[in-house]
Amino acid sequence: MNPRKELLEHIPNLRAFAMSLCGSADRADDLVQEALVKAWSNLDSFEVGTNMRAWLFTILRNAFYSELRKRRREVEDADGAMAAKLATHPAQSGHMDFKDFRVALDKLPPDQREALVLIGASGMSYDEAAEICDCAVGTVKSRVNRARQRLAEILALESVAEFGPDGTSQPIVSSPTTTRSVA
Amino acid sequence: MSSNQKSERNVNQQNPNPPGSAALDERLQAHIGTQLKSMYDSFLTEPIPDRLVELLQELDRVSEKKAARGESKE
Repeated sequence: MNPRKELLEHIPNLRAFAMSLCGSADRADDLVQEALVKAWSNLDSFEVGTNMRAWLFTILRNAFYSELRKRRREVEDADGAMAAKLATHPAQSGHMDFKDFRVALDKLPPDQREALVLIGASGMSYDEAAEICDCAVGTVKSRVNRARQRLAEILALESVAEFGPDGTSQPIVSSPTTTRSVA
Repeated sequence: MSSNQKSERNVNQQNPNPPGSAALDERLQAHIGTQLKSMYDSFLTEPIPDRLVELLQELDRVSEKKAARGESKE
């Protein structure tokens, strides 16, 4: 297939990957745009018949990390802003559960989020994910596991918070006196 | 007879692994899996934004010009 045509077919996937990574449609589209331009101008270096989707994901992923480094300071306090922004637009994702999940996903370190999305949603194999993330297969596996664990913690905490008691009420609840009822 | 200092520290205030936590974990993991997939799929089915379509048309024009000038390395 004409590699240029093939490239077009991967755009929805590239976008989904970008959206999953950065949580903002504008930033995601900036990344896709950058990745497309890079891919387009480097099509000569792409070996026809090899894995174009992994190649494109690698380009996008590298763009994501260089952008992240550039705006590290902004990103550090953007977590709360992003959560607030999402909270005011519940219609965007349809149902509430989904929004909670998005907020939780954004709390993960980027390398864990990336591994989880590649393996759990994009349909990439562990080998492909390792190639994209430029790390060992074992590293991908442990990142996915840590991501799942952390998400479970966040989501479990949220469901507990709905029913209380949380950390703040703990001191009141635990009574200090264990009166010995001596008959 | 002041034995009040002897008050033992209440160690087992809360069992960190109450029964049923494994089941909760399993349910949470299944929940995480489906949420992740449905989120990704919802992105996949979104229409490609105009700016990207325009970009591609622009890139196409550039490539055609290049090809016409014989700069293509094909």
